[in-house]
This record gives sequence, C-alpha cells and structure tokens, in this order.
Amino acid sequence: MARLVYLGLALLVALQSACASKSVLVLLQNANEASKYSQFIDGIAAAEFVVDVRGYKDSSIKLREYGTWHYDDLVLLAPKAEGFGGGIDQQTILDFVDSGHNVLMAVSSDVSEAMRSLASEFGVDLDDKGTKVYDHFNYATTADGKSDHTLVAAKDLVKIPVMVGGPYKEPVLFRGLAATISASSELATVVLSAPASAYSHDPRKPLLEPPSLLVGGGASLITAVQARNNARMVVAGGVEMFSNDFFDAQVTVGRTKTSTANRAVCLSLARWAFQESGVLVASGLRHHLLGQAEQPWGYRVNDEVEFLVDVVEREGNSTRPYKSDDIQLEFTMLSPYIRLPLQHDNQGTFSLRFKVPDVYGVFKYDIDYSRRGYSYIKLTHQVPVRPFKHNEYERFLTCAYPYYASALSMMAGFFGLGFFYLYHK
Amino acid sequence: MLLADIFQAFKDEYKKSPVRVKVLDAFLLYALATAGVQFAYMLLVGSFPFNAFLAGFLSCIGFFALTVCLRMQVDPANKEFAGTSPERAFADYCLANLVLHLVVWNYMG
Repeated sequence: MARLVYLGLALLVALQSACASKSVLVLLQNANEASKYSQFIDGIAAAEFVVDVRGYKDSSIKLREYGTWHYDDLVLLAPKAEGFGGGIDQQTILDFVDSGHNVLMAVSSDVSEAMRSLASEFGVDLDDKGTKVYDHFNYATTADGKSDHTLVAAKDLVKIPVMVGGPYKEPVLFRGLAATISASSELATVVLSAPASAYSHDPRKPLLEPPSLLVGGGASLITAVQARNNARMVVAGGVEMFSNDFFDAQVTVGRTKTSTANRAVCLSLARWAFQESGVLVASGLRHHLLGQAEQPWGYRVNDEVEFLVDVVEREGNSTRPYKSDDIQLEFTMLSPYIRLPLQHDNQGTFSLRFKVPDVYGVFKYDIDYSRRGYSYIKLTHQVPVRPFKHNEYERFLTCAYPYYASALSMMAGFFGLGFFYLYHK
Repeated sequence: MLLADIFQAFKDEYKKSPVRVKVLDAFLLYALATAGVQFAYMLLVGSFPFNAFLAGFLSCIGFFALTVCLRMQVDPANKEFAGTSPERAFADYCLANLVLHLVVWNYMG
C-alpha cells in the first residue's frame, strides 16, 4: 500500500518536472514601472512562463543559491542600473549565460557603464552614453504632433521568421542607442538595423570635422547573439521599444499614419531568446554499409555507406520534424574528403549515401550546422577506414594479360626447344 | 659495296653451322621479339602492374641469356667448352630454366 503511494508521488513529481514552466526574472528600474511594460510582461506570461518582476535594487533577488539557478531566463529593462541587488554582478550574469540560460537586455541613451560593459561582454558594442539615433527622414511623429527626430521608424528587420515573425507592414518604433558588432562575428546577428539615413550622435558634443559617426545599416538597433553553448542574448538599444506606449502607438511617418509592429516583434524575439522557438535537437546518429543493417566498427576503402541522423525542431513544448536542405555532412581526415548536403524525408530523418574515398585512415563524420536563428548542431563521430586485404584484390588484371601471355609463351618455347634438342638427329 | 660483301661472307659462313645452333638462334630471335613487344606495350599503356611487366620482360631476357649459354656450350666452333658434353649442357639449361620460370610466376602475382 505504501509502495503504491510512493509510486504515485514519484509519478506526480516526474510529471511536474516534465511540463514545468520556465521562470523569468524581469528587472526594471523600479518595481513601479511594471505597469509601463505590462503588455510585454503579460505576453511573456501567456507563453507559459512564470514571470517575477522586481526593481533592480531589490536586495531579496536571488539568481543563484547554493549552485542552482532560480530562474531560467533574465530580462534587464533597467538601463541606468550600476549594480544589482541580491549579489548579482556582471560575473554572475556571465555565469548564468555560460550555464546555458538566456538574457534579454535593453538600454537607452542614459545607459550606465555597467550595462554597456555587460553588452560588450556579450559581443555587442553599444555607442557611448548620451548618443542618440537620429533620422531626419524616417522619424515618427506621435499623435500629439511632437516630432523629435530621435523617434525612428525602422523597417529593416532581419528576414528570419523564427526570430522575429513574418513580414510586417508597420515599422518598429525605436528610440535609444545604436550598437555595432564585429564584422567577422559568427555568433551575433543584427536583428533590426537602422535605416540608411540614420546616424548616431551625442547632441551635447560638437560634430567632428569630418564627422565620424555610426550610420545607416552599420548601426544595429537590436542585436541577437547565440553563444556556442546555444545560450541566447538579445541586446536592444531602446528600452522604450518594449513599453505599452510604443506597442499601442499610432504615429505618422512621412505622410502615412500607421501603428507599430513593436508588440509582435518584441514578443516574437523574447520567445526566441527564451529558447521557445528555433531550437534544433539532433539525435540518432547512425551509419551502416548499404545492404546491411548493423553499424560496423569501421569501413574499407571504396565501400558504399549510408549515414542517417534525426533532427527535430522544438517550439514551446511541441516538436516537429525539421525540414531543410542545407545541413552538410563532412567526411574528413585532417581535411574533408566528402562534403555533401543531407537529404531529408519529411519526417525529420536526414540521410546521405556516398562512397568512402580511396584513402585509408581514421575519418570523422562531422556536422557543423549554424543557421542564423536556429541553435547550433555540432556532431562528430569517428570511423576508421582500412585498406584492402590481400585477398580483396582482383586475381588477374586485364591490363597484365600480355605479360602473362609472353611468360607462358617463353615456357612453351623452352618446351619446344627441349623436344627438338633431344629428339632431333 | 664493302658492306654487302661482308654480309654475303657472313651468310655463307653461317650456312655451314650445324642445325642445332641455327634453331637455337631462331629461339633467341623469338625471345627478343617477345621482349620488344612487351616493352612497346608498356610504353603504350603505362607500367601499371609493374611487377607483371618485369616478370614477363625478364622471363624473355632470362630465357635469352640461358639459351645463349647453351649455344656457347654446344657450338662446335667454340674451343672453350670442348670438355662438356651436349647432354650435360642441356641438363644445366633445364635446371636453370626451371628456376627462372618459378621466379617469374611468383613475381607475376
């Protein structure tokens, strides 16, 4: 009887952890500001997250306790924060990311050095404190007629639906700092870049002659970074982008009145940042000789083999087979001998048939898939390739037939000579 | 003019040699011709099974060398080998050819 109870309890616990919701810590400038961002916070909560909203100086915040993390994701909407309460400092946040958790942070022109330094640790170089993004052609005028050219209506969203959603007719309203990423960065993506006529400038300082500014497409308004352990960090240059005012705003850009796409973009980006979309899981790596079922310890040169792997795309709690033609397989020993794309049946099984090259040694199956917006797939599997055994060569070579024939004819000649020599009078 | 006379004199003298020697000479030419054919074939298609080429070529050359030795021992005009009987010479020739062809087929692969 007691055993049944324990079994029941264990089942309950397992069930609980299986569909446990993920928890998000939102740090605002102070807790009263929660009403300013209520639509954003409700949007996250609607995606089955447990949201905890605090002011950044709240000393009862506990991000980590005795080695375990209390939250799965962190949202920092406190651009002026110099330090955080509860013992959270930059190193804690970096450890948070290193252990696979995600951070979404937004700054403004009054950014503190602590936030700028955190962003640069993430690989995003924010412009100096006090600079603002101006655009004298794509600025938005709010309903009360005020036109501050710092309110930029940006339409250059990156075309990755899994990150920001479908194509939008409305612009994204933005006010704040511009950022840059290194041109050679493989991990950072510019999600929203400034319009071509925009520039970033500190109005209190005079312009240099000639001016050296962050301009146009080189200025990133929202940057997303996916670390090598698949932790995601989003750095948005304007915290007001997430506010109710910008979600509901009706603005005039040029001569057209339009609403904004902020709500859809911000919530879609938040879901991407919290690993709710664009997560790929690869499993079931297997390979075998054509015509056999079991996985061999290794191959022989010139064998025909088939390689298979299953990839699913996780979205929230549901998975579906991943459909893409660009996952590449490398069969490599110091340098790739075979590099071909995998073909998929629409059930998520990716496969390739190929012929082992005519070189023996220790090869490696290598999949290194980094598609922007999706988590990285890095799989390797070592497989030795042996040369021919002595009895695996052809017995008689066609091109050596003349030599066989001549040696035989020499033997016949000797035989004939012997006959003549011995029996001729 | 002089060359033609030399050739004619050679041919008259050669006709006087015994039949045995002339047959051996014929076999020598046959071995050389076969070796030449093999060499030409190798120049044409490349030396891919090099061991097979060497085995075939050297079977011809080895046979040539052994038949030359037999001819030297058997030719009555040759004073050096007057002591050995033709049967003894042929027995040596047989043994040597046995060894040669054993090696050739082993190396042929």
